[in-house]
Amino acid sequence: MLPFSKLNIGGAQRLIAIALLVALVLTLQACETMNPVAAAETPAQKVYALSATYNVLLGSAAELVEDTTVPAPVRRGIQSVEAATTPVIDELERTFAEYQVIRLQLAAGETGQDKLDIATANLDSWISKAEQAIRNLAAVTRRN
Amino acid sequence: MFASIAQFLLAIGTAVAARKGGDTADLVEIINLGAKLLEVGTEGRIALEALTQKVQRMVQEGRDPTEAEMADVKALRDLLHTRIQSVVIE
Repeated sequence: MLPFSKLNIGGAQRLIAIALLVALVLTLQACETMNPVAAAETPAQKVYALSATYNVLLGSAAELVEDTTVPAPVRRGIQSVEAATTPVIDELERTFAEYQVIRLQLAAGETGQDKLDIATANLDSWISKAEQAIRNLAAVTRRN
Repeated sequence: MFASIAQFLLAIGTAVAARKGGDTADLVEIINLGAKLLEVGTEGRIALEALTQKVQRMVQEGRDPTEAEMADVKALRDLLHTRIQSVVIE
């Protein structure tokens, strides 16, 4: 967002721009109350919520990138961030699949608790990375 | 409500653009981009509400997502990723 000091705008126009910023802030606050990840309880539900939440942002990102009236630097920025964040979600799901396999192996007595502890820590790590990836994509789709 | 705000902002952007005299290009750009972000935000908000309700139902039913549900999410992600990266921006 351009700073007002760099704009050649009058009082009424400045008020309109400020009103726009207020509206954007209200929208962001409303969005924060929708939290599928917070609603999830099990690791599987959390991974699903993260991945599906990411898809919602991807849908918004796709619309903005395809919109030729959106400034080109904004569209390029979204493309760049998306290229970096989608592999994180891919890796989250791959790590979760590994975790599930080890959990079943432990239940069948085919592996030890230490293996599951490692898989759980690995999954937790990728959940954190996925949450950061979602924040990064949200930042470029909402604030640029 | 957010859709109305978006329409309002788009109307203002159009009106400012039509006004003669003065350097209003940056302001028009800000207003129009803001309106688009609000529109996108509205759709995203509805989708997040639906997703939150779906996860809450999973919790209430005491179940994890099925393989088909996980596969659907992955397929949509792949589709959107391809859509975003295939756009050529000049």
